Amino acid sequence: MESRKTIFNYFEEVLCIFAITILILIGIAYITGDEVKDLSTMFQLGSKAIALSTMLQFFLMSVFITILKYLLFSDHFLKNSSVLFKTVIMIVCIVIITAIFANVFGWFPTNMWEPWAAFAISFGISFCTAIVLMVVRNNLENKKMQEGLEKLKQEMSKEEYHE
Amino acid sequence: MKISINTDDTVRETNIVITCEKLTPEIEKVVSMLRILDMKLTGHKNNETFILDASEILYIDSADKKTFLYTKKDVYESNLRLYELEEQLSKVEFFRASKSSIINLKQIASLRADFDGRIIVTMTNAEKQIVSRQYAGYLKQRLGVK
Repeated sequence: MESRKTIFNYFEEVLCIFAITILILIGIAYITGDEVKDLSTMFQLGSKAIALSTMLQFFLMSVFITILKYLLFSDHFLKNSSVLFKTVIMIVCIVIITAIFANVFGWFPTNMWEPWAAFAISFGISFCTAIVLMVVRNNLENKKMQEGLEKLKQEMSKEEYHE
Repeated sequence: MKISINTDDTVRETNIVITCEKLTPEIEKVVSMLRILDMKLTGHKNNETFILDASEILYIDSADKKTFLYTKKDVYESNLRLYELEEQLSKVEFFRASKSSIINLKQIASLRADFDGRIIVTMTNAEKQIVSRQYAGYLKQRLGVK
């Protein structure tokens, strides 16, 4: 009855975040890779490829985001906080982690506003897309659950009637 | 304690008789357990004992080592622990919703998934209950969503 998460569930989420970020990175590299290869280590190979070191850095970031998500949205931590509050904390933490990674791995010059603006735009677009997808998925799930409930109640009533 | 069991082919309804010096909490617990087999729950309120139909119960929760039965209008205390009630009631329409509550499926008016994986359930008396993420999967499975 009780569903417990295994290490594979967490790994699945890490890989999902990793896959999405790498796809976005491939897209940006394809369009502007050659122009920004001297400015960012993320695009050090220009529009030809993504470096292994960059992929490992993004994998590490995916691990951090997954840990953060489970810490914030578990039933034990910030138990009485609203979803909105937890989401705000999550966004702030992601920005902090990104700034640290950008500094340590030279993702982009942190003293220039343009890379930050590009980061804000891409993060904003990804975040809004994720929210829209989540709302649509939730609405569909709610509809299915309500239908399932009605069906189950009818089945229970039939069983009672036969008894 | 002496236990006697008499079997008789002609008996149509099982009759359980308890003979004791006085009604102790332990005996009351035994009686409550026996009543669950008949889908009846024993609830206490203002020093009175009530026999409740399991289907009348909206949800059951525990706080400070006490178990409470909630109907549309009243709250009763049970002398059974939550896990003891769960053992028997999960065979029918009840399911575990969190570490401290059991909900009657038939008394759910509507439900909606929360963004953090929990399910918010509105009972037939408009009260809201939360199904924690740990147990949300089971409920979705039971509703045929998962």
